[in-house]
Amino acid sequence: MIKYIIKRILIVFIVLWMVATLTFFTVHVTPGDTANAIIVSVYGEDAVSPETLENVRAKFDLKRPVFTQYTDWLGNVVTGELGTSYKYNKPVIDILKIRLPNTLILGFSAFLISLIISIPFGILSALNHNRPIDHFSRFSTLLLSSFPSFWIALLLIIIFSIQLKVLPVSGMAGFTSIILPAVTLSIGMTAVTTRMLRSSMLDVLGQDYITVARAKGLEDNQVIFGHALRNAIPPIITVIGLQIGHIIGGAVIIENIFAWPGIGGLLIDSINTKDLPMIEGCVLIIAFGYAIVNLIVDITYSCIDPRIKYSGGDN
Amino acid sequence: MMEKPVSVTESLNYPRPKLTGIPKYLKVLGRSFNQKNSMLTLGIIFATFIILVAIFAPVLEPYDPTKMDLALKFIPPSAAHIFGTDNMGRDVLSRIIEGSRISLSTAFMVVIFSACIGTLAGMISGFWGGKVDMIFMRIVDVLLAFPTIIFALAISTVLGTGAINLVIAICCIQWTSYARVSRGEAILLKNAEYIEAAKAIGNNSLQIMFKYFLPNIVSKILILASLNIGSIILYCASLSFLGLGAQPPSPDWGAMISDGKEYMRYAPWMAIFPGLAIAASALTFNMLGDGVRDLLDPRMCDSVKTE
Amino acid sequence: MKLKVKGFLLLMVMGLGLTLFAGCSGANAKTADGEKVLTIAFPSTVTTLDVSNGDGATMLKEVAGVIETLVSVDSDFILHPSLAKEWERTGETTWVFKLRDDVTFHDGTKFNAEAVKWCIERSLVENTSLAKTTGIASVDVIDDYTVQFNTSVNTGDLPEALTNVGTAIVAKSSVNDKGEFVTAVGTGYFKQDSFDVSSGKFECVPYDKYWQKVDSNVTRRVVLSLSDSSTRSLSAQNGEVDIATDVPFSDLETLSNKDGVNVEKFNTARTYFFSYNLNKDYLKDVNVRKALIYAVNKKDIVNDLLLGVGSVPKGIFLETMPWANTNVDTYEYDAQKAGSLLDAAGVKDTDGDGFRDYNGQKISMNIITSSRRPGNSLIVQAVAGYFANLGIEANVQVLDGNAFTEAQKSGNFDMVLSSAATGYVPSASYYLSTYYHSGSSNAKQINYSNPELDKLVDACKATSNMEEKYTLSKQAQVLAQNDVAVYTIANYGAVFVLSDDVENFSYSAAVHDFIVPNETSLK
Repeated sequence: MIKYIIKRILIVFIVLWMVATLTFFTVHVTPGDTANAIIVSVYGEDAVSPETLENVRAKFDLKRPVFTQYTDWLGNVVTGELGTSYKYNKPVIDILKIRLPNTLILGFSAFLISLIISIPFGILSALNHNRPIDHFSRFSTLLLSSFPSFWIALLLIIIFSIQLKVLPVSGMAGFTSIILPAVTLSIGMTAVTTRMLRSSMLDVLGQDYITVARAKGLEDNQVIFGHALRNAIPPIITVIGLQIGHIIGGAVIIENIFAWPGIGGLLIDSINTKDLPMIEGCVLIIAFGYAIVNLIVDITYSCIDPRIKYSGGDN
Repeated sequence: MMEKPVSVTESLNYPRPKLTGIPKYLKVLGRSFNQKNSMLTLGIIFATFIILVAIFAPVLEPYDPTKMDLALKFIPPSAAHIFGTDNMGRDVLSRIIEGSRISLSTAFMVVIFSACIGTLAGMISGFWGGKVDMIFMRIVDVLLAFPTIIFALAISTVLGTGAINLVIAICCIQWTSYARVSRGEAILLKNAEYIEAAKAIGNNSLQIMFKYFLPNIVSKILILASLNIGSIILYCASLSFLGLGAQPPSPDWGAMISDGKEYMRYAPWMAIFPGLAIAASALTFNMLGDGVRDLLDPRMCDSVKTE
Repeated sequence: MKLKVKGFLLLMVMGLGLTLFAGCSGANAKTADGEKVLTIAFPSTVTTLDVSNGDGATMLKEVAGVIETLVSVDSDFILHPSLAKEWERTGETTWVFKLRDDVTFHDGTKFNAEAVKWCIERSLVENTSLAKTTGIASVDVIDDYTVQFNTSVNTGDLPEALTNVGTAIVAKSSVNDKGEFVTAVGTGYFKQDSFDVSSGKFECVPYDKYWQKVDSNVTRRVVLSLSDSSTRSLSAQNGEVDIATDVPFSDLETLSNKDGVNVEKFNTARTYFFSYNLNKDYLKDVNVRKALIYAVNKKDIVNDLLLGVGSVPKGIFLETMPWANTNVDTYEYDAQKAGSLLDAAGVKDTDGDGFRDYNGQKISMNIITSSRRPGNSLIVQAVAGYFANLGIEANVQVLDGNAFTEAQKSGNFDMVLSSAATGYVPSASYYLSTYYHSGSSNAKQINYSNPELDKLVDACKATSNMEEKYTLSKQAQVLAQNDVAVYTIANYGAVFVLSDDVENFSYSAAVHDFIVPNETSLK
């Protein structure tokens, strides 16, 4: 067990290095003149001229060979330095530190909402297999996962912010402002988790030990919560791990629409203004986070899934 | 002392279906209609409809989808323009029909390219094993650390905008899921007796891969692909919405919503109908994928039996 | 199987209820504890308050009112003293400015010649485009309240240049020991209260020792960074902001009857203009260029496409600019004339495929524009339509900022639609020398050069005699308009959404985007 975890962690370090390298080169081979982009983003489109281009190249040290830039950058990454943002004129890491918690809050809220809805629905659906409530839940989850999130976001804004005027349009001010983005973000995940829970519950309910438990005369609730749900959890954990990726991807779009000051909106802004250090920082922090979540999921999974138990275990 | 740990992804792989090869797959597909697999039936009917619409788009469009006429702008849905007209007086229905070509072909291209690349890479990796496999797995691990949209955005800073670049950007990550499935299958098959036999009668590696592996892997890949199309349609739409896809005046659904967003209160039909078009096609392919999966997923069949 | 459906449903309803309950709390507290808070939406994301940054400085000067420049410009493009009392040109490249002696910075320190020297010289280093825009080379302190500016070129435009937000003056205490810009310590009526770098939200309160008397009841200004036009509009409609600018064109009609908000349209000193690529053989013929203008119905573009936001240009400049020459040919829409001009120039359909050819080759125009300004994409699509009516095939590319400048540089285009501020420096020569002069990057890209025009523009820039300046500029405008290498197709307009509570807000075209006067009050 320990050996497995150590191996996984070692692999994650290699992966992180490769992720960093890939990120750097993806962003840096970008065609086009970085100096030009900096001028447009920092001083405005009316300020571009040959002289200013030359000044910017000197000021931002853009004349070093790419490989030198890479080794310098990698050295800095190891020590937690991600360079200085062109647009913010501040260390990238400082901005990320401010923005990251906002994305985490949003993601966690979305996650919570999706669990609140998907757990009861998934269980109900499995228990009522092939009855109307099951069909309803299957179809509605399918339907919900088919609508583009940005479109739903627009509709929700029109309904709740403009017509009903109960929720703010955008930004992050007070508790109410998180509702629309979190709900929009949770929709896709709710659908997937509900379906996964349903099918793994169905799976478990068909197992012999459930029949045995029933035969022993246990109450339905005890069977469902004591045995079935517990055994249906492991596959859900994997799905949740994978869903984190969807949440992050979705957050980019949702944050953009709702002007939520998180990492996703920052990434889009940085891409638009070609703030290379900031793009690298955002991508890197997202990839790192995602890789680490996957690691945790893998390890958790190996701890609780009977199929990954060892022959010489203590049971 | 310790069993070799199985990675999550492998353990998640469903047990192999008992049927193998395309002919048997089709036989099961045929039987499904008797089993009243309504999801699949509906999926097939709608998908056929959507694909026909895309093919015959020029015939079906009531108006020229890119012809602008400022005198006809912002006409609400009416008899002459069922979905209304946009800010340039173009018929929204015609644009949606024309857009089905762009949006669907982008999605299909992503799925086809990803499936081909992924299947091949996974098969080679699983078949050869050793160093090749190890390097391959690391590459997949690295790519999996990027959510699709994030990587596509990063790639787009290199490639720029446009439909083809969008396809490449999404493929960069999507191929890995096919690769993992096909690698898993290849490892399972590698030691099967009939493969040993095939080797013994003098087939070389390439022949074995294409004659024996591929037909066995194809059905799994097809399930994955059909499950995948729906979400790819949504990815493409999202990235087009962010301005990375087809450029105006070509009527891409995601871009139409992005344009319509500006007029959301004044002419909501400009954004609502393309959104419904995206949802309808994603739903169709999700149903199709679901139906195909239900049909071929033995776990599902088992649980149905115990009911 | 028996079920406890009720239990599950209860659980679910509770969960949903909890989420919804949260939605009901929290209301818009605009005037809590007697405060009058004016909330303004700024159209791009403010990432730093450093005055060397375009967005930061624009927000601080024009919207927040925290920093000020030596010279100010009114809505008629006339210069007025601001932090400087008076100025005088003492030589071809020297100017002397007398400063006000009654001004203090928000940290209590004196505003004086030392402060101006320190700030301008810092900005010249940090803001890599400032030296080019203003022509300033160095600053000398003559006495406590007198400074001399030395310019690198012979320019009569220095007072105009000193209205640019990049030359706003901040105190030394804005910057910390490490040279990082931390707080905007300016001289304006408002002083910085807080800045949230993650969302770009800026708050400021009145400064009680301001050097002028200001009549306003606003006790706090909040500036929100909202870079999306629909978001700005929706926030204004929802009462979250009091002033929002550059909202979608269609809001002018949608919101005109809405209670609680006022929707107004203003024309700004910004243009949409074409630049023809004169490297293309058929575009070397001035009559072909003219024909392509005759083919475009500018009135329809402005009224139907931009929905009346903007105006049909009567020349190169907005007619309210004192140096604008409206006595120039603007080639009003005349499709027939366009066709006959093209025929005469040999641009005809020779092979009967319905498209015009030149020298036996089908013309396929590539029109590029950037996605940055809302009208760009609309105008190029419409123009492609007009050209198609004329039998000229045209493809459109709407590129994001960087790809656009790259495409411009590569020269792989027939025509560019750009948008630029004509009053970035409110002088008669600035815009002409930046886009028409053969030394400008725009003219170089399209290979346009008219030595006569260059001479006029240079002379216009050098003189400090206003009358002469305007005359020279007007002559240059005639030449430029006859050449039609660069042609203004529409004047930019912006839609404002104002809350009914806003009073004493006035609009000035002579600024970057918009200005919120110190006097702006709330009911």
